[in-house]
Amino acid sequence: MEQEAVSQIRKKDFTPYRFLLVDDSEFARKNIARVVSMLGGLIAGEASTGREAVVKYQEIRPDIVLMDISMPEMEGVDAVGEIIREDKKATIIMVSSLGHKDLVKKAIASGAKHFITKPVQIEYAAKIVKAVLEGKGG
Amino acid sequence: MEDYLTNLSDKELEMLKASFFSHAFDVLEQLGSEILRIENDPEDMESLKNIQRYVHTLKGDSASMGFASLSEAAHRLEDILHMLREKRLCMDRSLGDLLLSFVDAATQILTDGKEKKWSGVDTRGVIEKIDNYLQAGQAGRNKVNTDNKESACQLTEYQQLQAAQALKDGHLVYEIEVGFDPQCRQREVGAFMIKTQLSNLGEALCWAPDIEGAEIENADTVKTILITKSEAEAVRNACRIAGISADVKLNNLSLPPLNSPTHLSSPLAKGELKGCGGDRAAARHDSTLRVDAGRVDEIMNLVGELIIGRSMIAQSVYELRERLGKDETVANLQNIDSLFERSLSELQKGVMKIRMVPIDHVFRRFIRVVRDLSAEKGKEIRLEISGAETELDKGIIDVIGEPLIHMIRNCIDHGIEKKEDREKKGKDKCGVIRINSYHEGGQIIIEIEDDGKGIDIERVKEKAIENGIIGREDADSMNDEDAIDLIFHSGLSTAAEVTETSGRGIGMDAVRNTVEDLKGLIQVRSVPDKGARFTIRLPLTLAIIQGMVFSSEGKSFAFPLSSILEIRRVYKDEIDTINGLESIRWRNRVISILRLREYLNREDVKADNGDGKKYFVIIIGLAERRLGILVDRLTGKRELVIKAMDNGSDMISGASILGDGSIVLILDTASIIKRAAGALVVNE
Repeated sequence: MEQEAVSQIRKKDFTPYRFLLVDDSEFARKNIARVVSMLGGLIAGEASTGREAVVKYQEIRPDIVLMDISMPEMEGVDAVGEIIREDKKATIIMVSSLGHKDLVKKAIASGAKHFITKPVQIEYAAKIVKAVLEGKGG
Repeated sequence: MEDYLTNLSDKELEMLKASFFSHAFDVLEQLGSEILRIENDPEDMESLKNIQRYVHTLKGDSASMGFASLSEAAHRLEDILHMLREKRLCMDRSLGDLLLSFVDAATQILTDGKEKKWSGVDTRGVIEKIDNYLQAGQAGRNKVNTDNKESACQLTEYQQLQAAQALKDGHLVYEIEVGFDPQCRQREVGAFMIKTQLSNLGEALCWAPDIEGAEIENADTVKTILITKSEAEAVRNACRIAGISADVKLNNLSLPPLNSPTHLSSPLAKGELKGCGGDRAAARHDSTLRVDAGRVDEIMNLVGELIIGRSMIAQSVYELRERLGKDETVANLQNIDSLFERSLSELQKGVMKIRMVPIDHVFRRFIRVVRDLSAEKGKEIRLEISGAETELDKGIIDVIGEPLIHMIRNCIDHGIEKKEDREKKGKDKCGVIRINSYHEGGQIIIEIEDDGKGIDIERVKEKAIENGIIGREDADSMNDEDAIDLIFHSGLSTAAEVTETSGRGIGMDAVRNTVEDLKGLIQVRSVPDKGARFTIRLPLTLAIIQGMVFSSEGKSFAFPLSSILEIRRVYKDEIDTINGLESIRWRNRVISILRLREYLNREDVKADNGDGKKYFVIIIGLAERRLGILVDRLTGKRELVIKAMDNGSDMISGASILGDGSIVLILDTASIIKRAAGALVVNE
């Protein structure tokens, strides 16, 4: 495997960051999982609808959520709102294709910390996720 | 907005619609000419500003009237205009085509909409063109960008005040330039994040480029002006967002004085200042009043009645004075009458002025015709317009456009030669079409002239023979002027139409018909290899005419001055009789003359006693045809208010009442000439 440009990160207690991946496409989840592994994170859970994501979030309390913007049964945007209403400190990064900029803006206005554009460029995405986790990404 | 429309009563809705359509068509027309203007001079910032304003208006208005697709296209067009404004696009021919295709589509959609029919046209084609253009432009974008990297924040006057106040209050004002991370692909959202961050620190006044427009996606940097209490470092940190911003430049601003142009650093400063003129023009525009033409016509009719009434009073006053001699009351009456006369003539002029529209409305359509058709025919043609400010009656303006356009098409199609041919003849390879208009003695003259090959007389004759309009012997004996006149023959021009022009359904005969309907004249001059000139003479207005009043065989008649070419005296022996028809020689032509008696079939017209040795002959012309009318006595030139009358004779187009109460019959030039032409044929 090629040299990874983005170094792995750990929490202060040296445990890995726990991720919740939300996307209705399994392929997309697999793809974004590469970002998690690049950063040495742990996939704590997956969800394929907004509704499921809200439930899963309560259940596993992840450190960060990578959330698709457009899904069946509650859009990503609305899920962001629900999650943040429950946990004001929730860290959510939106994952979206190019067409949804208004939705992404809405999600950010509702409290999402950043966004990643599909098709995901792993390194670039990892850089963003890392910055967000280190508190520099917005 | 649709809901808002449904809350209106039918009448209100109709009125709203009417005003929407009339305004929208106006705007489209103006938009079209501004586009052509900026195409000629891409640096014309005033034009660009007007274009932006028109498109913006169309976007808003058409959305609220339910023309969603039109509004959508206008919205997309705004993106392009914005990029033009920022010099990230260059104005060129293909962009001109794109903008004009929007105008065309919009005109069609609105025309259909107005006639309440389903429009097969939508703006998808235009939107697609815009997208294609933007995509194609993407490649060339960097080139344009390096030429002009600066895009400046433009503060509105209010924002300037705001910033000035903030400075006074001890706040800091920064000009911030954030470079995007090259990998950032949704820059609009990126900019939105920067904006969100900055909003925690203070107020960002304006963004360049617009962070909600399409152009932000192609921008390398985004600029803003921030009013804040935070120190530079805090601002810088707020702008640094992983994956979005690369470098952040900060400039501490001290504000320019308030009366300076409304931006802080801009290469477009000059253009902006010029732009202010556009706004003033817009303001002027708003002070115009839209009135239904019918109302003006009603007033015009009333004015006509008043003028006749006044001249009757004048006649009575005259008679009173004759009877009573020096009388104070009569003298008073006379004074009052002359006061009336002056006021009435002002009133008449005033009302006529309302109906007057600059011919520019018609002329500006030609720019487009020449632009498109010359490209299509592979010819290079310059259009020179003069006298566009000349005013004429709205009723005439409305109908003269089509024929003129046809003539211009003819100039392009047949008149101006191909580049190679022109060069062979030693002419400039760029052909010229000149259009001019001016007033001359109560008439309006419109000239269309080209410097092409002129009318090919032999070919016209050939065609006329082919189509059975004339025989070969006629052709041989025919002089050039008469031969040129053949182009107005319906048989001929239709035939030419089918084979040569793209079948617009209007030929030179239709041009002639329109000019005739307007009581006008058309003349042609053509010199081989030098070009052709068409001169159209039209009356200024259709309601009041300048007429030549004369009496023939005891009755008063009048011809509109606009159809009179010449009045001359002829002696009895100058009149020849050919084939039983009387004729005279006039300017190298033989023209028939006639006595009205035979044509009007009026019993009260006494037979000419034949004593007279000399007569007046009024030579009238209609389009290209000429005819002489024998008259006994000329009364003189009068302003005649036309009263329509139903007299069963199409030879008389109306009547007018003179000051002495006598009636003048206004002769219909067209019918008389046609009838005379018919008589000629019968006699042959």
